[in-house]
Amino acid sequence: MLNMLHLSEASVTAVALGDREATGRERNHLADCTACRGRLAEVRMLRDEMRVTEAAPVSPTLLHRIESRVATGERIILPVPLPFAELTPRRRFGWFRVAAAVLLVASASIWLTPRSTELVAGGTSGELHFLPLAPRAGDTVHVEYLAPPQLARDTALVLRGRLRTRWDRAYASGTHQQPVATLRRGSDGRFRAAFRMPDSVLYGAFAVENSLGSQVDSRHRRLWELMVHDAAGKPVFEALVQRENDLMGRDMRLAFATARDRAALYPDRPDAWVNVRFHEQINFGQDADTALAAHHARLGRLNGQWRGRPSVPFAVVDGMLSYGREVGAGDDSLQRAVSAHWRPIQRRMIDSDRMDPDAIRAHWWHLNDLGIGPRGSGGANSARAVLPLAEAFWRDVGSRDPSGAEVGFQIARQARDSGVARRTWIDRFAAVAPVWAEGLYRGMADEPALRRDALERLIALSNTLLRPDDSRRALELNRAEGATKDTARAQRVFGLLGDVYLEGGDTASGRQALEHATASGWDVTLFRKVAVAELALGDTLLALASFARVAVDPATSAPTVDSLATTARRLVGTARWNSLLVDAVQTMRIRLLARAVHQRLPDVAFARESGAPAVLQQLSRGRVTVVTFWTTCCGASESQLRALDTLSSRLAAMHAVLIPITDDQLNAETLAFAKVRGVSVPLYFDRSGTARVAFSSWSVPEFFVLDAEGFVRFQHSSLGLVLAQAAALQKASP
Amino acid sequence: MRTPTASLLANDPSLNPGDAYPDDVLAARLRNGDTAAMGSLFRRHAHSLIHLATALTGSPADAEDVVQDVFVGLQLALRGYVEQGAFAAWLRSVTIRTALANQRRAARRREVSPDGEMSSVEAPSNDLQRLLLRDAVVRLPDDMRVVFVLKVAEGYSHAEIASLLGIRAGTSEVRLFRAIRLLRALLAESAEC
Repeated sequence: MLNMLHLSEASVTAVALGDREATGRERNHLADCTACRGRLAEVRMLRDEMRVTEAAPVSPTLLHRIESRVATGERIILPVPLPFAELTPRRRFGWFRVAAAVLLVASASIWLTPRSTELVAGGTSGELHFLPLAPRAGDTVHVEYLAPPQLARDTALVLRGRLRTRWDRAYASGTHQQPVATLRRGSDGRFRAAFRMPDSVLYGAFAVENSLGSQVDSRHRRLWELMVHDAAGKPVFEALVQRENDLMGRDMRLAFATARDRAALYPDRPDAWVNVRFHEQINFGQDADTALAAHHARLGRLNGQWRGRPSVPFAVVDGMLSYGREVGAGDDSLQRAVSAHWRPIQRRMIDSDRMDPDAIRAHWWHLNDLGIGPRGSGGANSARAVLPLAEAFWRDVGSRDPSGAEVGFQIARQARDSGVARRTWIDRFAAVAPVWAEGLYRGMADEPALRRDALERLIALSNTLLRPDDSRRALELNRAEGATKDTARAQRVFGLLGDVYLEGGDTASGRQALEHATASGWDVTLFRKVAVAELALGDTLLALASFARVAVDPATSAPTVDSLATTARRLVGTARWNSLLVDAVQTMRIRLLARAVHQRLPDVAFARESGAPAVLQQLSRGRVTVVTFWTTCCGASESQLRALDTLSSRLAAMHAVLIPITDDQLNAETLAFAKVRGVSVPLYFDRSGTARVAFSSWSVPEFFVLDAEGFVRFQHSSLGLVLAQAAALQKASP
Repeated sequence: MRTPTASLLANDPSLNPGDAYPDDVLAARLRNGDTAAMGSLFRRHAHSLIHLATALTGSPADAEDVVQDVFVGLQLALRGYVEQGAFAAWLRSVTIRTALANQRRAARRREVSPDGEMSSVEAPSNDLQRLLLRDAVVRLPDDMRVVFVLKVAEGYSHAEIASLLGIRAGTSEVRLFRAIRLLRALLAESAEC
């Protein structure tokens, strides 16, 4: 009787289109039922008819219309497909919000996430909460996210993370980013997901983005963070190390604060104090020596304290030696005593437990000291003697610690090796620190015997950079920004390639590479190189076109501009040179604006030198405005302070204005610091941090360029580019 | 004469012009600003994309708009293209999404101005049966037609269609068999005429 029931429409469709096989009952029915077989055949006929792809007529003018729209600079954001597999959250939490709220109120830990929904230049930010807030290694972490308006309409968002293990190095030199979980929107509008922290992960930094990667919430570039804690709820020592490593280069002051927090949480760990000393030296220069007496006293106390213990962890032994080396210079007797006691213990521990991660790292630094001596004082002969030892250790257990690649590279360089060993160590180092690859290959090219190897690697690197790889994209960047960054880096690699060719006398290849380097973007240094290569090839007109780009950049000095003009007019006449200058100005504007953003700022208030309040928008008064962040405790910032007056006067010449902002104390000391360095332009003080949040600026020195309407057009820029960027905006203004 | 090092550079396809490259190479060149590569990709794919967009939108004129938008935005979109599958499939997927997005916009416009009519069918085929089928497909309601084309012509799974349209997989299944039922009726109706 069952065979008499006809197949449902859904079943006929599913079977006909191959979504599933017919069940036994359906097969029996089909064998007997002409009507159902007919319906099945009918759907298959529909499928076959629909799948006939005909050569649909294409309008002969369609391509031309497309090209015309592209030529006008029209930009369309297409809904591109999701580039990664969907993840499914394990379960949902009715209690999550309450529990998270209780924990948020209960804890004042620095790991909590601030809330903000205001529209700012650095992008909008929502609220993201992790549960547990203090996970143990390998825990499942639940995430709840309240999206800002720009992301709230999506049904699914992506949580991307940079997950660090104990082997990850300082700065983001080799750590990759990856999708960690898919956040799905619930009926209450909140997004939720869960993921398991891999056992080896100690620290994670996170951002949220839409599935296209076009909108990123990076918490104003500060990212959300998660650290592994111990059973007592205290951040694990190594997790704090990785947090500090991650902050290096993106927020040095917070990295310093993390080092201080670690020392405060683990005051008996000498390896914690080593990093405090390191940051003091970076931030305060010679002034850091005022803290040496306290370090000496602490070294003596820790030395006595740990010597009395029967069992001392390897990290402490290594830390005692490092701390002694860093702070013992003013008290040789203490340093000698520390070294005499702990060095033999360290050697015994290395020999007894060769698989211990700290022992491996210590052995690398031991080889480093043997091969190149303290601070590179050793000669080539000692490095040559150690090179085979480094190779043997790498092949044995040393490769477990990526920092060994750097030690091996330094030893091979010190040994002036120009063969296989140097090449091998460069490749190993580039593999663990890919962001430094071009520098390594550039150095490799200085060895004539390795020049061809260097060229091959630079070419391969440029190809790699031109192929999309989302793991390279920093968490703070959207896909377009990541691609722009990769392209810019590929162009720098082409620039290095051009250098290497030119140095080798291959001018034609050098020019070809440099042409690729200057195909987009605006880099006066590269334009000069191209011009010189073109001159060498006898192509005067092309050379002058490149020199014209140098001449129109507002950062080029007046004597250089005059010199170029004199020569150019003699060679091609005034009219031709003027025409080249007009083209160059247009190119500069087009290329710079192609990479511009358009972001609104909230009202930004800070204090004048007098202490009176000032508002950025009032200071700008409808002019193109350059905002720069500086501080007294950063060497790079200090050196650029000396250029601020010149920058200000050049901006004034184009009716633009400079606003230098610091979050240092407004006092006589800070003002004197700037005055001594030749700064006479008005300074502004952002003690509340309002401006930093508005611009999402956490490192110094940084520059931002605003157009006359007050929109941020160029962000996180540099001193060498801001004048050209301001000029590009001036030309764009009516 | 080329030096060995110069040939290293020349061997890199991303550095040299030429139309006979595979899709991924042309895509990489377009991504890096070589707009000539767009012409090559257009000539290679425009026919099938127009065909696809016509089926989805029911209007050759709308289909042309869709394909035009796809190629205008292609260079920017390629920044997000991960070479994890065939470029042609990715491009078809982008075209489908663009057609759907345009359709949503058009639907919103229709809400404001109900006077607008769908374009009449100008099916390119001269095969009568196929012509009748295409005509019937165009007469399907938008939501049914899109599911029908994606499932039957493009071979997407219901889960994929659900993801594309923001609906549940079950809804996709229901729309499909309703579309087939309606098609059957429309084809019978046209046979009677």
